[in-house]
Amino acid sequence: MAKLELDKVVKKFDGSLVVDQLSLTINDGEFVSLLGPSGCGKTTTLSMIAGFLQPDGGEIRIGGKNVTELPPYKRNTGMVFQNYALFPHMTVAQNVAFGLKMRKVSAADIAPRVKKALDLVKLPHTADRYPRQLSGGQQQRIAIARALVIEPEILLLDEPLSNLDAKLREEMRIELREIQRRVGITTVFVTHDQAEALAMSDRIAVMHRGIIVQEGPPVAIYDRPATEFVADFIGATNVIDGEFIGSHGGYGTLVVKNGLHIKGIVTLGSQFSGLGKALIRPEKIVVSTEARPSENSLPGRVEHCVFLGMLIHYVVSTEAGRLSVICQNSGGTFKTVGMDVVLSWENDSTLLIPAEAKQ
Amino acid sequence: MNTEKWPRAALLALPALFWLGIFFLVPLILILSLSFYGFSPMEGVQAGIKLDNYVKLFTDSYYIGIFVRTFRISIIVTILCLLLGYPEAYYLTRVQGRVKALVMMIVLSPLLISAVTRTFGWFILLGNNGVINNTIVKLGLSDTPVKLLYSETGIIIGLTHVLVPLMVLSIYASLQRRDPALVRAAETLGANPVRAFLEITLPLSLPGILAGSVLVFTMSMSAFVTPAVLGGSRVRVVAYLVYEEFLQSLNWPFGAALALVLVLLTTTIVLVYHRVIERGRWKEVFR
Repeated sequence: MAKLELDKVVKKFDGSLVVDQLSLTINDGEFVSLLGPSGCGKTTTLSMIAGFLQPDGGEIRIGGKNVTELPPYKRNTGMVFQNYALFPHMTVAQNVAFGLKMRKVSAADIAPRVKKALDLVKLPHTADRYPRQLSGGQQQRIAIARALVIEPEILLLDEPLSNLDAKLREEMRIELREIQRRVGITTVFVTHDQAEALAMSDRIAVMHRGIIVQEGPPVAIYDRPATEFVADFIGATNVIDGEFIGSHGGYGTLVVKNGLHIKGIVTLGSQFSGLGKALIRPEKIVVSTEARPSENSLPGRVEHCVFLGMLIHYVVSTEAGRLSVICQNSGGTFKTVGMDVVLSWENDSTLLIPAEAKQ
Repeated sequence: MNTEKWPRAALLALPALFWLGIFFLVPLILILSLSFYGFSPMEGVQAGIKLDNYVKLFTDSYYIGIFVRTFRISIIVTILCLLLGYPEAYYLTRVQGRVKALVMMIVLSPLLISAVTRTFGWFILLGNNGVINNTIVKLGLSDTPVKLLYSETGIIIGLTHVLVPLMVLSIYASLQRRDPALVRAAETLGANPVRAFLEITLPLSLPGILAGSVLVFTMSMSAFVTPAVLGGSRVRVVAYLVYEEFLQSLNWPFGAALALVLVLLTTTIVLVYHRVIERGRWKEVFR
């Protein structure tokens, strides 16, 4: 168990920057997600931490020790792969024992440690089976046991849940996090699934085009996205373009083209002026048939109504453009297409960002 | 497997079965019955059921010696093909595009040349005044030319050349199927590249090694043109002996017995080899 530090790490492929001066510190026992769309450099970053790729610049330290030049087999990391990568020609017990065998642990010590690892993932009865005889979820757990049995300093997870079906995926999220907490291991989790990252992480680093665009706890990433990209990638968001006309006390005002004023939180200091954007999460907007007292309100007409069971998704056309609204299905009557409605929301649910911050 | 559909599936196999029946099974049965016939230089082939041919074959050390030689050559050729072919196949999985196409062409080149042309090429190279011996003498590695032509060495060189592509293709096919994440997984678990190769890549390519070595071994056992040109009547192999019995001594029954024993011997060795490998430590690889 150890602290992981990435210090201005650079990676180029064929001359183009894939990871650009990336710095990130992950504390002892922390669970951090690298979240981003494909091609954002998150897998490349993980490969450099594991040692499969050599950085073109910068330094990687595990527990304060510089491992930048070390090959994977000399770094003490455990890794779980997207397709599990269990050795098909070995039994479950042989798979789990592999890392111990490579570390020249005596046969007498291997057996109890393998058993302990299989107990940890609740699959002690599968020891003599072959990987092909196990379900996807079981294979996944064996892969976790195999990575943890060597007592690595860092656990690396490369989209480990993406091959599981939806229901199992949600179970494994909780289970994986539970195991990680019990072992207390420093963990890097690579994913493109924002729901997974939000559900499991202590901290999320959102990556885009080789850099970390925002880093923080899940709540901060979701409620205070630094850029339109982050807001859009993590959950859906409504974006309204306008112009800043000043701010004070942490709140600013944006004028939309038809003179409408939108107030919201300004996070990036209050110095900026000129074009800006207002970001409002669909679930923070209230739809009502009559105007109600609120800090921001906007009349509109329902264009689409999609019933999702637990939730109802409306698309409402307003003077500021079409806005998405998500409501809880709390019984009562639904708004129907063509109905005139009023949208309202609080200043604290609105985030104002400069227009050029589209990263 | 849907049992209702099987008669229709069997229908699809019928043309091939028919072909095999006419051109393989029937001649084999004819050879079998022929091998029990008698022969005298004066009166020729005589019908009957006698074990004379087999008794002669299994008691005369001359014939046994030729079987042993054929077996020895085939084993050495198989091992050489494996040693030369594995790295080549491994290299092929690491390159792409044009380089791969070019290397593939080079690998396959021995198969693209007619057997006679290729073998006479070796005939020229291996002779006492050939390029190879001239080089050896000039470099001072030996005072006199090394006997390459009309020797087992020459036959081994010639056979290895033509059979190595079969080994490369078999191993390449099995290496191509492996998941690159497996080697990475082994490396994160502390295996250095050599251990990762020995524990993961090599066992997982066993099916390719098995298929390739069976192909090379059986083709070496029954090879005719290469040993005939490079060894001829001075270094006889079983196939050459069969040819001599049929076409020179006109002793068809004995030739038939030789051919049949060769087929049975090769088949038995291949079956035992399969069994041993498939039931060995890495049996799961074959599932």
